[in-house]
Amino acid sequence: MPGAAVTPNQSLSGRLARLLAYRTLVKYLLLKDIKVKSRGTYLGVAWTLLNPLLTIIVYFVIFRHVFRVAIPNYLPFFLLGFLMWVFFSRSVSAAAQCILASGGIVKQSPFPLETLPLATVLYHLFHHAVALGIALPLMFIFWGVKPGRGLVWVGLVLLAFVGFTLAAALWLATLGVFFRDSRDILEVALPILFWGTPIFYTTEMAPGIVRPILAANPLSSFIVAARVSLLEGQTPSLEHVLGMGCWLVLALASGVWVFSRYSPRFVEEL
Amino acid sequence: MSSIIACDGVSKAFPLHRHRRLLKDRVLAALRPQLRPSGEVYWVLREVTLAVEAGEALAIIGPNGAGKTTLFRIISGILQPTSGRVHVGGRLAPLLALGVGFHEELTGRENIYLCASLFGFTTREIRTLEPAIIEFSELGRFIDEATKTYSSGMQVRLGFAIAAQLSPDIFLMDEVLAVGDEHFQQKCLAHLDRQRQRGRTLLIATHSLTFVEEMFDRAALLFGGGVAAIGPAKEVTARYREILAQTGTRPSP
Repeated sequence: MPGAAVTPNQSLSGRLARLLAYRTLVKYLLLKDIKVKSRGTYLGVAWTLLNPLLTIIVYFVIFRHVFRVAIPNYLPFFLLGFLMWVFFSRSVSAAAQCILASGGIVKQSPFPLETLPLATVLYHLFHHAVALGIALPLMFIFWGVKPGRGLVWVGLVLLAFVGFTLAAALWLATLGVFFRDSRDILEVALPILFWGTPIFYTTEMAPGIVRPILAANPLSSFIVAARVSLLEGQTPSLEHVLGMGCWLVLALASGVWVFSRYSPRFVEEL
Repeated sequence: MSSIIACDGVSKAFPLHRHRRLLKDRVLAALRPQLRPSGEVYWVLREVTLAVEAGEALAIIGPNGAGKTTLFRIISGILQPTSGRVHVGGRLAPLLALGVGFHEELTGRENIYLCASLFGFTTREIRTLEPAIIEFSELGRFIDEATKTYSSGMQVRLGFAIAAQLSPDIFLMDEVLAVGDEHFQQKCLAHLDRQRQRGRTLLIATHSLTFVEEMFDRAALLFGGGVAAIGPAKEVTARYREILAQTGTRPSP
């Protein structure tokens, strides 16, 4: 058992070492969420897959058959990006509540609070992995997507995206403690962000005046890069790789900073 | 003997009027100065200086609101002091409540793993402790039932059983002994006594003065955020009884 240091080492390496010492806690927090979810409902984990599945069908019918979007092979075009969105939006929404929801243990036990947003993101990553495990083979078998070298890039982009989502979760976990209306704000902000991300359309389809906004959206570079790698089997453009790299570094640095700076005050705000 | 816990001039202030928690309020406060928080603070602890020697049993007594829980949170590292310093020279198991981290949908066994991992244990370490925890809890076959089906007594037993097997150098307990039936209370006390004989340090906050007189070497009286008296248990409880008589309140038996 590691000693409960009274003033834990606040340096980055000190915090990482402490988080590593509590890795077992992350595991059991994650298992708790999965077990509670699967025992609480009849269909269990399947619900979290059924929900995006139904949304995918509705969006496909509307965009393909009502709006008649002319993008060829439309389902594989938007599927990966949409699943990435589901992972991101669910992670940040849950992260905004994760400290408050665990108020009991935060007030009574000294443990690295980073474990809470981390376990939250890993829980949604688990569902994301299951969804991708179903969607990718379907794309290869039925929808003419060729597995190739691009898959390596898909993996790298997804890895970077998980890092970016974790950073966003650190931000939202902090904001959620200090601003209790974060949940309401997210309910408005997330749909705007969703439609402002080229998931169901290409950046080129947007009018010129909107394109800078789409380009400034951090999610765009990740989603477009993943799509290009998967569908065209290509290396993403340098612009997208640089965009992802900058956003990842910026988000992680600021997310770790804001969480380290404000998490010692969480207990007093609960 | 060296001090295993040393609090040096520890003070803690909480801001008053901290009810504006919406982004809307902060924006309005930025625009209109009269809406800004007053900046008034409430000092829960003032200049608390306290040393606990390795292997001793020290009781913290005092009325509700004297700052006992805040002091324990600071010693455990859950709260940061506003000023002053705390040194802890050993592994510490803070028990500010029993069954912290329990989730009612999980079974008793699953909660053992979750709860013990909250103290920083690894799966392998918990697996070694598991049989002893289950035996101490006297839950028997109920250990694989969901915790929500447990009576409050059963939850408390499991909570204490986990804490009892952590074998830290310092047991830090806040009022957690005032629960459970007579038989289990005696078992817990006997366990703590054995731990003490093995050289472990006990720091316990309680309202039961007779318990303090029977079991503890020393006691500290926390009153109004400061240490009003510290010394041999019987002298400190006598002093506390005097204060209570003056203010007209009665101590718990």
